[in-house]
Amino acid sequence: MKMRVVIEETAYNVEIVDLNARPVVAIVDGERFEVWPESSPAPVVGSLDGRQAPAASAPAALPASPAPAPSVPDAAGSGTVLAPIPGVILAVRVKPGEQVTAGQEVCVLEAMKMQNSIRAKQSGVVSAVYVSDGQHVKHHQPLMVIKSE
Amino acid sequence: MSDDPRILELRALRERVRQGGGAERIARHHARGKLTARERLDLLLDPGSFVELEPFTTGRPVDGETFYGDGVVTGYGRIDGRTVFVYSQDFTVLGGSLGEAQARKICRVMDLAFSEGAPIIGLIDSGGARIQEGVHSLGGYGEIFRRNTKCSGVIPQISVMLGPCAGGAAYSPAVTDLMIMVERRSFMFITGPDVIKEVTGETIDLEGLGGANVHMTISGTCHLTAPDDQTALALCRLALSYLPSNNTENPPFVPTDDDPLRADEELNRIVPLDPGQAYRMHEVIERVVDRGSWLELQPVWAMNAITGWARMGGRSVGIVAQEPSVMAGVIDIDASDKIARFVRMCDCFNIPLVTFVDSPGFLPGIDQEHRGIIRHGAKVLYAYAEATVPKISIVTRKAYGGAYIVMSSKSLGGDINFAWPSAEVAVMGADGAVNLLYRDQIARAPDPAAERARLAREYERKFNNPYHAAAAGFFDDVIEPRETRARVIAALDALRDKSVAPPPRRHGNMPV
Repeated sequence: MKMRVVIEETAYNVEIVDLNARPVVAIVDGERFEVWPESSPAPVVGSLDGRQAPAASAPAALPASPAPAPSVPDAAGSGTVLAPIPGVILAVRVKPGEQVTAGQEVCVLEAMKMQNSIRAKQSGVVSAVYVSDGQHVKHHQPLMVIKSE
Repeated sequence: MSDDPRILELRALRERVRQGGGAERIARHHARGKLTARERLDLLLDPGSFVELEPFTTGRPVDGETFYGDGVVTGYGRIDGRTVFVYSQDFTVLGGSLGEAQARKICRVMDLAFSEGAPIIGLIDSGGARIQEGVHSLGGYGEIFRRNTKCSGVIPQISVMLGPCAGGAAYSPAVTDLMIMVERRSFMFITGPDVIKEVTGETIDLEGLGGANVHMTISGTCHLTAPDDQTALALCRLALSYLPSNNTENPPFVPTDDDPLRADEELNRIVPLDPGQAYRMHEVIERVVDRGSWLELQPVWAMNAITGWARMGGRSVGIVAQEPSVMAGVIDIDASDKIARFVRMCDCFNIPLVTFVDSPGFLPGIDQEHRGIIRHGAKVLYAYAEATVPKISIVTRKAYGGAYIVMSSKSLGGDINFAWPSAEVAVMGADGAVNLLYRDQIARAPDPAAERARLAREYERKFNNPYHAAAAGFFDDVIEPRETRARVIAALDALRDKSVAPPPRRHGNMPV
């Protein structure tokens, strides 16, 4: 789920990966935050089709953030590379700061006994890598962020 | 030259009709990079073939004013020599909004297309319902939707989105067989950004909500996109070349100089020996079909599945496949919807189905189960079992569990089923099967890990080949990959007059 949150006239692009996961992983302008909601999981589940709850839980992470990074150029925050399928990371091919070109293999994800090549959708610089070799990842879990110039 | 005033008046009126919303609005329309309703028809149809109907129809007055044509240009013409009926909304007239008269004009060409048995093509560029006409406008949409539904499966219906298509209006294209959108200038949504902001507080722009990119990559609503009007209209012409004029005809035969017996040696090397290594099914398809005939639909949505038209030996075929290099070729909810709707469209229009199977199964996961993979996956088997066109399949590698069954298998009514020597057909993978079957035996073994590995190898020897299934008659033959083109074309020839009487019923109840 993606949303735009305005706090004191500054707008943040917030993406919540899975509201039911603990911690809740929120990507705020390309930076990853882990949030442990205080309430029990139940109300959060209930808020999936509500309106205010998800927006309220995400900005809670903001105080922990120093200066928010400049917003991802694409409003949809598509610079984040997500796991297309649940599986195990076999190899991360890039490091933070590295330049990548669109179509380049950035990571290999083994799923359904197949080595799935995860490729950059856009050229840019790897600004964060969230996973390492051997790690289990869930469907749509963020793997890394590629910022286009 | 005639000087009869009555003829001169007609000529003057015709000129006014051609001006649509007036020179100034046309100039603004052009400045946005858009073509006018009539320019678009000239590009879509064979040169000089367009004949307009009802140019003098006017609608209910809006602010005391009426416009000739009421914001839509309708008529008929030809594409590649075949008759098609068309309507093209004129954004320069009241924003192309749909009023009673416009709806009636559109319905009239739809009725003509239906009784003639010719395709209907809508060029959409409209602000939506004409608010000033109230329920007359809404009723107009209802009349159009009813005809879309009646025409479904009888004549091809194609919608080309060249501007906005908002609100209820979007449901007409949704019923049609093919949707083509122009990038950055066409939008489709049920409720727009303003209403969404008011109701849910979400902020989004037109492009982010319902642009071509959204419907091509996220919603799966659209089949093809184009950078401009010209390309979108050319794609519409191209798409029609695979389709018959109606459900009682066969698609056009397009002669090819590509040898039906061409054996592509590269195909024999394409499937890696290591089952964990992927390869590109797109490459397989391109090497098998008539050169240059492949038109992929929905190429960037549910990319683990492939759907599209091609020709083999000059005849249209619908290609369905898995792409093992994307998500290992699993079948998930989106892939199910993509495959099921495409299979049914081909079946409507007498387009034989050629299915390439390489799938490890349905995608496991709580999310998929809770979102209803059961009812979505069921659409795939329903569509294949229901289809009465010739059905040919080739298992190139994995065909496990449910994925084997639903993908045009022999038991679902596949006519000719081939396997490559790399095919694997089993209920489940070796590790899972061995753990289920031999739990106790493994636990009791002095070295459980070694015992498990031994049993897994045994299982793989039994099932990781096509011969177990071929021995039971589930494959008609095991073929070398390079023989695929020749064998599929021969099968299509043999099945050309296939005829199956449907059971007497009103209609089936496909899970949706």
